[in-house]
Amino acid sequence: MNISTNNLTLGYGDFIVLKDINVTIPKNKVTILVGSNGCGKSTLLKTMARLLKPMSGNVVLGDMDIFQKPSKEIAKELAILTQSPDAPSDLTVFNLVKQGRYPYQSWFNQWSKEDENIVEYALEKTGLSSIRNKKLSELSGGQKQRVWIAMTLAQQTEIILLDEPTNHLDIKYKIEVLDLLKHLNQHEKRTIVIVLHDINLACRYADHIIAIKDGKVYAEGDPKEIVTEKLINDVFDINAKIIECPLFKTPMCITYQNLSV
Amino acid sequence: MKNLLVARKGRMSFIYEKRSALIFVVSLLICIFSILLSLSIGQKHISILKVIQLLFNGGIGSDSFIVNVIRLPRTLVALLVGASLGLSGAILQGVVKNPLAAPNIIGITDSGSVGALVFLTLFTDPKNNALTISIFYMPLFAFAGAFIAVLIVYLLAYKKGVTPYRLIMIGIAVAGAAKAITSILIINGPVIFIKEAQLWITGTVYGTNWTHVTILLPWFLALFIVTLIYTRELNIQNMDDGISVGLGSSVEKNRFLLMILSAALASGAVAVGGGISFVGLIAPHICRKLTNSSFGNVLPLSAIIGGIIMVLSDIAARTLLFPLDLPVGIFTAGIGAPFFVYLLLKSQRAIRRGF
Repeated sequence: MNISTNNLTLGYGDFIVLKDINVTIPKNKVTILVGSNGCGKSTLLKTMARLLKPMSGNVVLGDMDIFQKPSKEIAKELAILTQSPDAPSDLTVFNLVKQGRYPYQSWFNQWSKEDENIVEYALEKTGLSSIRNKKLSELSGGQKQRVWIAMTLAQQTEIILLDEPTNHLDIKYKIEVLDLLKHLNQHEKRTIVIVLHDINLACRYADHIIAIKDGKVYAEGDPKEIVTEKLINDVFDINAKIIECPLFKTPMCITYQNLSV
Repeated sequence: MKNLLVARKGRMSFIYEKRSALIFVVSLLICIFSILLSLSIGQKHISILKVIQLLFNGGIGSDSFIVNVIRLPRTLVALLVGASLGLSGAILQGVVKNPLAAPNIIGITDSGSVGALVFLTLFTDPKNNALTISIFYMPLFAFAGAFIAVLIVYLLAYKKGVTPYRLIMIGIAVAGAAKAITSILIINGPVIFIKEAQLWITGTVYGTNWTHVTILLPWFLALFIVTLIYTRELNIQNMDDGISVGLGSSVEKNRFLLMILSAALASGAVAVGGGISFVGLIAPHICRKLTNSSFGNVLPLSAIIGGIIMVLSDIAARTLLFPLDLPVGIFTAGIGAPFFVYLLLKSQRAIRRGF
């Protein structure tokens, strides 16, 4: 299933955030959207997941405009994890992950064998099997985020969109979450799109980067090819020296405002 | 999987937590016991065993009359009113994603009062302070008042969809306006009317009979079944809207339907029982403390716990200051609040012990 945008213009009220965006998300790859605060990367992600209506243009999922498709059918092909989502804190891990099966269920078919198997798989993949009966309030930030990711996994979709999935997490949990997403991409061929504001982590984990600036796509492509000192300066308005990461051989930015400090 | 009950047959499948099922059964037994207690206690004490006998065999005589004609309908009305309010509150708390929501916060109770007072104003003959038509029509007016209020709240809150925050804010405004109208009507009404109005606003099941039961019972049962069908949707509504839409739920449509369900339940209760407060707020909370926020647990349990609170409150209302028969609304908070505080303290201690 391919997802792409077609002359997409997005905004709030009369205020235009993004204009005439044409991007195609590469299949079975990790795509990361980067840009400075308020550039519209989250808005773009939400629109691709039909959470926001575009002012003009459209999002095409498969061969259909996403707003022409029944929402439940989309939920079987594309999952979205919004930024820092909230749920009652006395729910258990199992309670929440189970909700990912919603698009496949009905009021008289609430827990099929398939639902059970897939929730089991999602819990196992995210390392939550042993703490399935814990309440959300008893979990660490990293565990909580894994619960939400497990819920999107239970949706069994080819495409997963995530808005800042590492927000407010310690570096250890950031890496844990991103490693999990990379694993899902490599071993299960899922198409993953992430909004991330850490450019160095973006370079490490992305197969494809889309950099947004002034309501337009500034550049897109393999981070090794497109991430340059000029890009960092133009997109993030900060100076940078780019070196090769000794571990992952990906571009690494050392940012500075003024060398004489 | 050991803590889950799973039932599958063909394309049908259901799941329930074992612990919640147990709590549900225990609550049901307590509920039945409260009903029997309510039938037993009163001016004339009739033993519970005798009550059971009279219920099943009917029979003639004064005891049978007291149990089957006087106490039973009143107890059942109390039960149904409490169950409706508990369920209504649970639904509303899910829809607005806020555990402090209750039917009165979006103006249902206050607007029901307006309906009841409009009835009293229109049909009280100022010459002799008597009603010109039967008091039986008052519930119709109360119902209309409550239901119209919810529609007004929804319409005013609508702006490319309804957000929970706007619903609450507009609801509080409408409730405030309704209170003002109530005051105007009371101040300008005849003197006799003040007592009647005040009684109604506090909430009472005094003088209810089998007619009330036959009206309220099917209303409640029908709405209860629809609510159970919508349990899944409530679980979804309780999360962020972004997540709900992402899961493929028609969030707006379901929000409207659930609001209507909540309003219909509360309006039915308000129409018969008046402005009973606290049950709709506290019953769902007690259920969450006993189980968790999953609506499969909260919904059926809220109805039962709401019913228990009302039945026990009514026992207190008509016996504590006997021969005074006080409005039950005075006692709902008195019974519900201490139990809720107890649960809060208990769960705090459990946390400290590290459970």
